[in-house]
Amino acid sequence: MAIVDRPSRTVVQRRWSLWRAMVWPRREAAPRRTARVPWIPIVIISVIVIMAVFAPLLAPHSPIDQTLRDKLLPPAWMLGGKDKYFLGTDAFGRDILSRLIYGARVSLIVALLALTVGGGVGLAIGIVAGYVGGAVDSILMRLVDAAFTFPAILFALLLAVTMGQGLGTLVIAISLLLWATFARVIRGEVLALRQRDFVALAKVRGCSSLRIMLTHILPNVLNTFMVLVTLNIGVVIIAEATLSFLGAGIPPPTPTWGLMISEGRGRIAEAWWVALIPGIAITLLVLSVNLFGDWLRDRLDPRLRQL
Amino acid sequence: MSDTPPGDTVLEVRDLHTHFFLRRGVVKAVDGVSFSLKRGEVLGLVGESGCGKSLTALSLMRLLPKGGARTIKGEVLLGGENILQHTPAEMREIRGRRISMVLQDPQTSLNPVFSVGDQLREAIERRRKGASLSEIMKEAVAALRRVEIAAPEQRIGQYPHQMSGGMKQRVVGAIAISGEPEVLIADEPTTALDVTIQLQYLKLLKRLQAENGMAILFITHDFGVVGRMCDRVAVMYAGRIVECGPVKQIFEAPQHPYTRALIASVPKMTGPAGRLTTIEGQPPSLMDLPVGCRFASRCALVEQRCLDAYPRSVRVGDAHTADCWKVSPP
Amino acid sequence: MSDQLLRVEGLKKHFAFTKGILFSRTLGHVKAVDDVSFDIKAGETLGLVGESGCGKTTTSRMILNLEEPTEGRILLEDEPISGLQGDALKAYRAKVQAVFQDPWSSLNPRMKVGRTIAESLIVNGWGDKEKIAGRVRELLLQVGLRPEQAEQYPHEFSGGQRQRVALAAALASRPKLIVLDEPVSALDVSIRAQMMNLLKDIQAQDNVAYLLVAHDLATVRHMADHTVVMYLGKIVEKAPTEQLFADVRHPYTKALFSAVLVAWPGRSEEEIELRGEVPSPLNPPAGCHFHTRCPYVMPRCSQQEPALREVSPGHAVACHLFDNA
Repeated sequence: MAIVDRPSRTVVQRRWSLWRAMVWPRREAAPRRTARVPWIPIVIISVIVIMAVFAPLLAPHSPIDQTLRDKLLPPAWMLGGKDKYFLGTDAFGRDILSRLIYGARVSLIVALLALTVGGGVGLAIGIVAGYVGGAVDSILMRLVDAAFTFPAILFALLLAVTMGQGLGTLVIAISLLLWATFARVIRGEVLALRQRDFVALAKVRGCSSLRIMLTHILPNVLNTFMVLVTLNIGVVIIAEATLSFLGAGIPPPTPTWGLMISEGRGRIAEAWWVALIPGIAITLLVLSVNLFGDWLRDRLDPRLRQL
Repeated sequence: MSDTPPGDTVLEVRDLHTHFFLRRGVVKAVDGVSFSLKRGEVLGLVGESGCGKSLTALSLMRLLPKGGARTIKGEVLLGGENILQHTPAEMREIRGRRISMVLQDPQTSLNPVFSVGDQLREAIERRRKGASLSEIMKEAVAALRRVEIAAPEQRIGQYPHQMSGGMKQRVVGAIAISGEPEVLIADEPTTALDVTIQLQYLKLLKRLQAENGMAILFITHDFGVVGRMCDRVAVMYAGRIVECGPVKQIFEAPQHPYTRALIASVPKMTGPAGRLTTIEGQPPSLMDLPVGCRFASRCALVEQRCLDAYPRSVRVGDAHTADCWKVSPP
Repeated sequence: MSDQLLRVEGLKKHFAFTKGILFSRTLGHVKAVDDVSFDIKAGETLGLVGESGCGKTTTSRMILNLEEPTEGRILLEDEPISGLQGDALKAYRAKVQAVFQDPWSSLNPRMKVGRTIAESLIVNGWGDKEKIAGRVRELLLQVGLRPEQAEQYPHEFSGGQRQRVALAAALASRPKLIVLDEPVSALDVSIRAQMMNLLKDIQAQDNVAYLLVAHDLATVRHMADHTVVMYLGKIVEKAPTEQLFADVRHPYTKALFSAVLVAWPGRSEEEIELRGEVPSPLNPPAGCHFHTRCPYVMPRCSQQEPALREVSPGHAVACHLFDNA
């Protein structure tokens, strides 16, 4: 795209942007104070995503099959470890590396679903509350306040008891944790957008409220939404691990990282690798995702974009 | 109060170049600006947005925006000293004391969490080190009275949000002149104000100037303000001053085609209300300036030599110069 | 049917000043617009002049049906616009369009300008894709842009070009009236003249009427056939533009004229510098709202509100100075 006749704005810098290509072009370019592209987190995230997608091809063993003969073997580089089990085995003789690879799948699926459901609901509520305003806004925002005071983990345990364990329960529980954050931030954005002249002009041209929300408001909050999504991936993964650890997540024997920690916790003194390796995986992923999210926010967040 | 006698040059700018160094290239926002300012004089710096007039002012204050802007060439002589070579500490002594500034938006010029009195005190304390609080407060009240704020004793304890835009701009003015500067740079100080309030403010500035004889560099895009305020005008286009001269001469006999077209395109209050003259096209990109005259691409009188070389500055009258090949000395 | 396109009769807008959200109580009313009446003929321009807070923008927003009047009527082609719903409202929207001041805020940054221009046509089901695209090309040419620019996003345009796009979008549904709310005040001087000429050309071609909301008298003089001057929600003077500029009556209008900084040094006319600031509309002065700043104030002014009365054919003033005229 060429810059055509922009005499008064020549100073504004335009840079390549991943998200511009992915979402929509934006009026102003990224701020000049943008931090360096976080390559290490991007590589870590890519590796984990590839692991999850190609789990059956990459895993050396079945994640479920038990080989009791080989139980509690340490990682290959330690005394007593076998080359066959690079990261060792757990109490049932299952390969930790294979469980880790399959576990990435569960973590990412849960993250994807919970962010779609929770984030989507929050996005919709935020747009409606911000655009419609008045009593609707007041009521929705009181709901958001209530959601923030809600003991989400307890509620998830309750859900697991009443609905039974499983992916559905997990996604609903985590969505309940997420939507309020999304709704509150998006509403703030919409309140500012609503004051822009193009919204009043859309009304003058005869657009209905629904049309304005979909064609004028929604595309303009997508950047913020994307930033929220990345910043919350870490929250979801930890929530999934926490719930699985507490026994309210995916039922065994399906491997999840939280469940793996939970199973290894009893033997942490003699077989530390069973709990510690999935713990390191969670830490790495969450840290990477957060670093990436921070960078993305610096690039796209409207409050930093000004100037 | 300044020691320079009236009529003497207090500020001289010679061949000032301030460029933005960006990854995409160099934006030559100020590219060879020269002018001088005499004591007790108001010089208008006029131009359209993006012509470099505000950046010229910031270069004088050495308050360039972060992000690649640098003054790479030129001299700014304040009382004969080149302040571009001063240390940051020396510069801090100059700002507010010898050169002061009033900006366009009174909303953002004042700190919302401090009272008006606190913000004035800060400015006065710098000049009167060691003075007692009551003395300083007395001076702050006097400063507000000078900018004709009614009931200054009550206003001094108020916060910016309790004041109207015009009132805030007066406070900004009071702070700017509290150091009794030799030079006041006013960057579009009335653009955000209503017309009747604008008139009040301009008259106030004139009265203050008559009192202490400071020189004012008045940056504006509005020829009406120029006619009311200024003694001389410098017209800027694409990083350079293309014409400079006494107000009356510029209005009655503009020499540079850009000045002529600009004045003709202003809607008038008298005369026929027909079609307005316009300037077609757009100014050149500051990243890719032509070698010749910068106005050539929009000029009706353009010829080959305009494209080949930047025109020399022609002295067309008493203290009146224009950069144009088509203008010949009288 | 009268020859008036738009009639505004006794228009009032009072904003309640409230505290609390769900269980709010009213603390007072701001009379943003207080008993305003005027007409606009087809193909004419009415200038609405005043300083910030005088109610000119609120008036225009009521005409655009973005605000509900507290009292009074707005009639377009003799049809009252209050309570319009569904298709009738759509039909009204197609006839009354707007261009606003800030070119950076009036275009959706995420929408191609062609889509913005086409929006009112799409909403009204004006035709198929091909037909709408053809109309968009035609509109872009009409406002002096290139047809292929329909595919570009707003950030690729300068302020002046954006204002042209906004005008093209307003023209799409062939409106009878366009509300121009400070259409040129955010533009540079040379661009301003281009835009004003363009607006005049379009009016000559399409016979569209303009309601020009402005604070700049010189712009109004060049654009408007009639001028209405407002102060604190009320009309203080109204006249054909030429007549007004030849014979200013109301002291406030005179002050506005003095404040216009004529681009000519050394004028020697009578100059009125107003004291003080515009009073708060929450608590306007009794009697004539202007009496606190008026250089010709009389005892009567603080007690009795002056009525808007004709001082010569078509020229009305609300001031006690002209009570016996």
